[in-house]
Amino acid sequence: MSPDEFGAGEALIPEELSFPDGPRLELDQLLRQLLGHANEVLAAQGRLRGLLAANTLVIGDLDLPVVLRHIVEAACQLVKAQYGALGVLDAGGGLSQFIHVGMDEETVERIGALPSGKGLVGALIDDPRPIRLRHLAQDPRSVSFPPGHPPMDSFLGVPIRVRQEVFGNLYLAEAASGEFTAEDEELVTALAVTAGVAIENARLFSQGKQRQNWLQASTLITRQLLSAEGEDPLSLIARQARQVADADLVTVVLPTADGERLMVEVATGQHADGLSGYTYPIEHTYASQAFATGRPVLVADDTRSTTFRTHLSTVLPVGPVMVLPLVGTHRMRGALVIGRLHGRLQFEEADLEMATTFAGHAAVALELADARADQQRLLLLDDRDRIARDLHDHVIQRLFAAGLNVQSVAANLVPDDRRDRLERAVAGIDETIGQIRTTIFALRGQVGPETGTVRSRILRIASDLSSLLPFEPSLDFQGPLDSVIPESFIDDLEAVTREALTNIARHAQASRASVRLSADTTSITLEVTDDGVGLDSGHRRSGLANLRQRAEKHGGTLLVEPGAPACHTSTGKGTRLTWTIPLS
Amino acid sequence: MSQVTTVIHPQVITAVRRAAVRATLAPSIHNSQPWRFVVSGDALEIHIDPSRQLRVLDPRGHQVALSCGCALFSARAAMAACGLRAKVRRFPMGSGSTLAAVISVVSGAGPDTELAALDAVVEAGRTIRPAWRGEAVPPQLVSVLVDAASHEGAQLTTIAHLETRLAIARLPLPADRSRRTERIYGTGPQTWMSEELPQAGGAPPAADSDERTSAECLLLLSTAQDDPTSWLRAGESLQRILLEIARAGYAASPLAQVIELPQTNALLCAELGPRAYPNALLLVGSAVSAPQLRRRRLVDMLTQVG
Repeated sequence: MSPDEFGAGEALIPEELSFPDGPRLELDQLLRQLLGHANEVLAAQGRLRGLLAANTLVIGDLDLPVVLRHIVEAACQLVKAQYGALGVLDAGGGLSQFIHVGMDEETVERIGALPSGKGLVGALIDDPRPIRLRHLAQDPRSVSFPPGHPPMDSFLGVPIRVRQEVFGNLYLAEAASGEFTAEDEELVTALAVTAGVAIENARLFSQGKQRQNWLQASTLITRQLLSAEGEDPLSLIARQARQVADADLVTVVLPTADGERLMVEVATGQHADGLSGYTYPIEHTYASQAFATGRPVLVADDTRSTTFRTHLSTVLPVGPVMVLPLVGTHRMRGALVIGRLHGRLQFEEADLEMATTFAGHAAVALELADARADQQRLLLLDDRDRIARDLHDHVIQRLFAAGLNVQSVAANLVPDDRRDRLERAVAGIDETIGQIRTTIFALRGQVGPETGTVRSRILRIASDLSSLLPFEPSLDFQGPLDSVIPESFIDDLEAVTREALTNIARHAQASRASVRLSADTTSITLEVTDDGVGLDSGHRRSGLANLRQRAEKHGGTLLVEPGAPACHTSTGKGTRLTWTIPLS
Repeated sequence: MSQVTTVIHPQVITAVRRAAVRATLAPSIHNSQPWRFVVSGDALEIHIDPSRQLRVLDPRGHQVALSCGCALFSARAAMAACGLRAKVRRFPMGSGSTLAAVISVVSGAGPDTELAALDAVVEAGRTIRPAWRGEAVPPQLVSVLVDAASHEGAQLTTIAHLETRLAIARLPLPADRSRRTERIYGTGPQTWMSEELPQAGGAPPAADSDERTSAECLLLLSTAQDDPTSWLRAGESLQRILLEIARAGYAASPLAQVIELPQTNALLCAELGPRAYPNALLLVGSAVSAPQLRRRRLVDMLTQVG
């Protein structure tokens, strides 16, 4: 776009208009005036067209840095200024950015540092009203230029407001005509209004884009958490946060088991390698502050912070920092700490808000992943339990039935070789059942640490065996069982109970049985009674020998005698088994 | 000689911590990661975590010691990469203790540059059952691996004889079957079993033995003794071999179950002859990259004292 397009129209008055007659002089004058006005109108129209073109240029883009540069360029062309600049204010009243046009790179390098907000540049910051000067140097507010700075005489400064807040200032110098006019000031003020709208648009657009990036990062993490392999979700969270927040160093810190310290679980970015595993007290940290309030913490400059430093600064001089708590349902799961190098752009409230949403997503995702791991563990235990139950309910029953069948066939045979073989088969089946039982207990035993009391263990045996019996055995406990029975006796006690009840199931044809366990400080007595056929059958001897052995091992005795449970009307003779061991 | 107490340089502390973090990336059976690390000044302790021992597959605790050995080697390599020379005491409290090793920094000595180079591939060396591409392993690599093993006091044998290879290749089949029951009998969460899950990309399961006998190379790592300290050394040797394989751009799949099952172990012993005990059987070949195994949380594995 050529500067002419902004300029006032060329003079269209012919050089010489002459009329021979005197009376025409008046007309002549009128015409001259008319032409002059027309000329002015044309000039004004040209400038307005220039303003329109400048407006179009300014609002033609959505990328903030591009928009800012276009504003300065358009302003320079609009008023034919040689130099133009835009200073963006920071929160502390200084300048965070200074975008300038009109100087070549060499000159810029010669000048060195950009203006920090002193002199006229600062005057506009303190009092945001347009400043128009014929001679810059004559103004008392001006300070001398640094060496290498090109001379500047005429000056025009106009503030740019975004939603009533001063965003920055537009500075123009060296008008082509030698001076900026009141009209120039009006035009640039009008352009500044458009610039404010364009900046607001660009900001909203970039925020929208940023929000989308954070959302995408959240989705990615959720997906990763659903897979059991690949990158650790925490490291993905850190990596994504670093990318989206345009940060230099990001860590995820988790509390240690004692809850008094924090450990860097993952770190990504510059010098991250030396930070993983770093442990530090939780007290006096931004993270503890975030944990206490459940709110994120925004640190403007970590190097200048007087309260406490982040752990990031042990490896990298970070300035702007965001600390985002990862809030779990029951407790704080940890924190996400995002840092930029010292001197870089600060995180804004909008960044903090978006990052907080992201951290919320990440925390929920983590919670889900952990819950899934727990669930898998439960499934595993469930699986064991189911297998144990299947073995118990089905396999043992069928083996048992098969054993009984074979046994009944064998009983009808005369004692010979075939009968012996059948009986050996029965013994084999018995042994298998025993092994399966052991397996069941192994499977169930691993579900948790053994916390069962003597009482609960005997109860469990009774309920385990109740499916083999046509009835529920009655149980009776007496005395301080758990405190007097040593751990070393319990296995035998369980084995004896199991063996006795199994014997009843197999041989006694009983309709009732009872188990009575009593203990005092001197002895333990286990009494198992049934109302079955009694001891006539020879089959029960071997089992009894085993029980006796278990008693004798502890210096105790086994007594087997006929006898039915008290208050019983059964016709059977019944058996009473009394297993006693002394306590020293 | 009087001992002068010196302040430990912050860089040393960082290096020791980094070594611990690098060590957590070591391979372990079923990714069980049966270890704990204690960083204490300029020393790093590696402890066995018995609660993460697979009771059915690994009743002797052999794989646990082997895994800790792998971690130990990674830590040594990491120290070397930071320019430090490390001194290692293995089972300083006796082989019955859970303290597997203590690594401490020796001041004033240069690092082992051979080890330092291996630290860079620690992340790549995390094996998961690979999908073989069927390219042969160059003999130069095998000789590098044999050297690596002997540096760490173990012996690496190539199982070249075709019939033996075929026999061993068939071994994992019954072993696999009994390993599957680990799901039921073993300890720990199912996530350890990630090796068992079918992989995307169609990796052939271990039972598919025909394919692997052709191009891949079968290596047997053995030690002269059969005690926890030897197992730990064998683990260091194993990790050195695995890292060399990763550095060369190849992949390895340890067939742990063949070592641990008594009947297959006996076969390997017979193959080796007297005074050599099998510690690891490795299938080495070229493979497409497989997804990484997940690491447990550092807060659960790492403690910093002081």
